[in-house]
Amino acid sequence: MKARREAAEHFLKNILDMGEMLLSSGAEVKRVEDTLTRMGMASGAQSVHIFVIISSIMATMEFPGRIRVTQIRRIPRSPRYDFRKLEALNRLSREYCAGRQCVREDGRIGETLGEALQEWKRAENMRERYLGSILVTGSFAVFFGGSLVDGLAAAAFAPLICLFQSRFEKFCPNKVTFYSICSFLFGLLICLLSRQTGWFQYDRVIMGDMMLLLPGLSLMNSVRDVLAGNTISGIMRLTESLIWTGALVIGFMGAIWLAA
Amino acid sequence: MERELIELASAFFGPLGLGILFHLRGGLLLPAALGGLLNRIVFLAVSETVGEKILPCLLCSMVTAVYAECLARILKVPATILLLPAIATSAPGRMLFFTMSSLVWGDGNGAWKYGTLTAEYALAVAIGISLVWAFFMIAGKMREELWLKKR
Repeated sequence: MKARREAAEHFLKNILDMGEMLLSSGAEVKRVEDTLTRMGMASGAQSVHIFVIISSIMATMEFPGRIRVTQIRRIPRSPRYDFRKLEALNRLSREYCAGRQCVREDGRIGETLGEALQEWKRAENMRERYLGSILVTGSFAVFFGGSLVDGLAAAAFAPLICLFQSRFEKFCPNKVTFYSICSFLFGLLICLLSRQTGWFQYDRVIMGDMMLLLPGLSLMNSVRDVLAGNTISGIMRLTESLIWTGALVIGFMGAIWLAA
Repeated sequence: MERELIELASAFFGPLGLGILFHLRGGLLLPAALGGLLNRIVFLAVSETVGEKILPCLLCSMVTAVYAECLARILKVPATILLLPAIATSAPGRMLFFTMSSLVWGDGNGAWKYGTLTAEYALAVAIGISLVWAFFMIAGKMREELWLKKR
């Protein structure tokens, strides 16, 4: 009995790991709830209750033999979107559910899921991040009416913004502070360099670099969460995204007012 | 014409860059980038006919969402990962900047004009995506219900 309870607790821990990784990778709330519920049922649970908001996951599962386990997981506030991980976790959950595996007394099935998840608990690929940021900022600076030089200038600032994000964000108490400081500092740098050198237009470069910081995925997922019936999560995410966007705007406005 | 070609090229490379930034798998980068290109082509084609910008924004976001949803079902991947890079070209970044700029220079009328345009564009994109998502969600539930009844 004790071994079965321990196996159930271990399995639920792995399920919450899965949920945390899904949420941090950019999944919407409904996807996380559905995935965890399906995996719980596929493991042999008689009832599964999952409640997800953007900052927390709560799960209760009841297994045969009146074994009921409940765990809560606090989700870190700074997700690092990773679509490759999201796709892989989605596939893993499909394969797991198709296997119809049950929690055994020795907890071995929990171990298998844990091992599979361990593979994805890795650090972000920074090379891709830098390359992607250069392409995004350069392309969007041109897209918004800039010249090739404006695109190159925006692309030149992108790695600096990424470096600043990776090194400085952890010292900020929240994303609002970070976005205000980041947009102000880089807005100031862009405006001053533009004014001093005259090589590029500061407005197009800022438009391009702004695309790197705008919380687009959060905004999109907030709409999706509301549509799917997770109104609380959707409104939380939307409010958060709008506040972050406001912080960005204030930072850039301050920089333009000072330097342009 | 040259400006439009440059716009289309950047509408391809921008979403491609977003796909790389969000660590999208190599095989999905091209579909995501093509989604961005499709988004822009639809926007330009409709705005040529209609003249104003809100309806083209709504239609292009609907077409892009349909593209992402259909491709996601074929490739068995979450639709979000294809939709986000593709829909980025609909983001009202330029309008947002002009709003900021007008506020800084004390141009109240300009700030109001660009601010409302930014909100209208954002709303058009959100409504376009929502309509498509709602359709696919309802269709999915109906299909599941029919499948369960057959069993």
